[in-house]
Amino acid sequence: MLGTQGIPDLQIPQAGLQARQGVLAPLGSIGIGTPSEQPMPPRPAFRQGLGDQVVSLRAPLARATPQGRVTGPVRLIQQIARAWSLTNSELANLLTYPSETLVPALLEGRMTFATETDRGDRVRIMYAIHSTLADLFFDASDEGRWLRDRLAILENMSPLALMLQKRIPGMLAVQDLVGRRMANR
Amino acid sequence: MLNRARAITVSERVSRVTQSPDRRRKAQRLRDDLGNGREFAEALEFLGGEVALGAVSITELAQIPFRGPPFSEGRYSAGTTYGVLYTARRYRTANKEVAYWQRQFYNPSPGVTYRIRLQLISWLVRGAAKDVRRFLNEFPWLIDDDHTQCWALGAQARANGLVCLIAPSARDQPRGTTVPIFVPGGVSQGRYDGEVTFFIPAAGPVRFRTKFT
Repeated sequence: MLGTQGIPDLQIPQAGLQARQGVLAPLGSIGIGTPSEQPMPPRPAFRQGLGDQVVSLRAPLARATPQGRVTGPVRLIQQIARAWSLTNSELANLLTYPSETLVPALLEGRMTFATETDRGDRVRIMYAIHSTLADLFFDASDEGRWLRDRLAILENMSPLALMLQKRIPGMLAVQDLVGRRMANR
Repeated sequence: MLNRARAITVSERVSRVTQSPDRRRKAQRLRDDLGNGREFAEALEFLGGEVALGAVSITELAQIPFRGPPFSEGRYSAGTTYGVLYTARRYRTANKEVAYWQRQFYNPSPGVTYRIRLQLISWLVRGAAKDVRRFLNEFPWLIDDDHTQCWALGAQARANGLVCLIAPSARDQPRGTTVPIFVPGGVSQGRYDGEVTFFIPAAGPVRFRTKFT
């Protein structure tokens, strides 16, 4: 498999994730993504977190490896992560990745995002929530704040906590709250 | 009570505050975010195409409450067997009805005020109706927060083939009038009338401002 050796070398601190277009992987030439949902070796540095933190990774493997590209669905994940100010840990949990260390590889296009999976459904629901909230809030930064506000109608949990704790049923509950009730459709 | 209510035929414009048809706007946002190239096409396909981005017209918007089950629970429907399009005779009543419910959806931190944007839409409603407003003193449950008896009234109105009721507003007393519509085809000539901004502070009343187009 491609570059699975790279995983133990990843050292990603618990910084808030804020994917930036300027530091994302450039478009590659190997199609939709990498051949399997396996991470490829990391790049030397990945900029992430709130502000301008630069997260250093250990030296990448010396051998040449094919580079994936950031596909459309991954761009949607970036949009969601940015709008909701998600940490790597939160995003990994929402997408059921076993480790937050996989998130940079996903967002940089070094790991395939398989769309026709449970993860794809999660992203579709999350994007529907984000899309409606983006239309509701005048101030874009309020969307991320709202996700972390406890609401009595969600058993005093925040929408984000509900999604993290109750998985897809929690996401569907938040989608219903946002799409039907808050948007009053 | 419905048997005693005056039967009328309505032909009037009614208002609703909601998020306007958003398919084009959401597609445009995707383009703005992703460009118009390969990633945009991939993302759109992944999401299910433009159809999956929402209603395309105000006419389609009026059909959404009738899609189910489940339907949205409201004053005149438990949400299990039928849907209701909730409208009001005057835009201020529609605003007040929506403003009342906003507090449960938002819990801003002290010092923060959320500004929420919805749209003011109107349709022409035509058909058989009954006016139950004069029964409010006799049946105060018409504006009670316990909707059980209103659900029965709604079910009866729908079974009787009424397009809508003319009913008292719980949130715009004493003169506000709501028009719950029970028939998907009961409205036509949808129109975008403006934008309503709701101001939701950490404490205190929810305020709103309407900007007409």
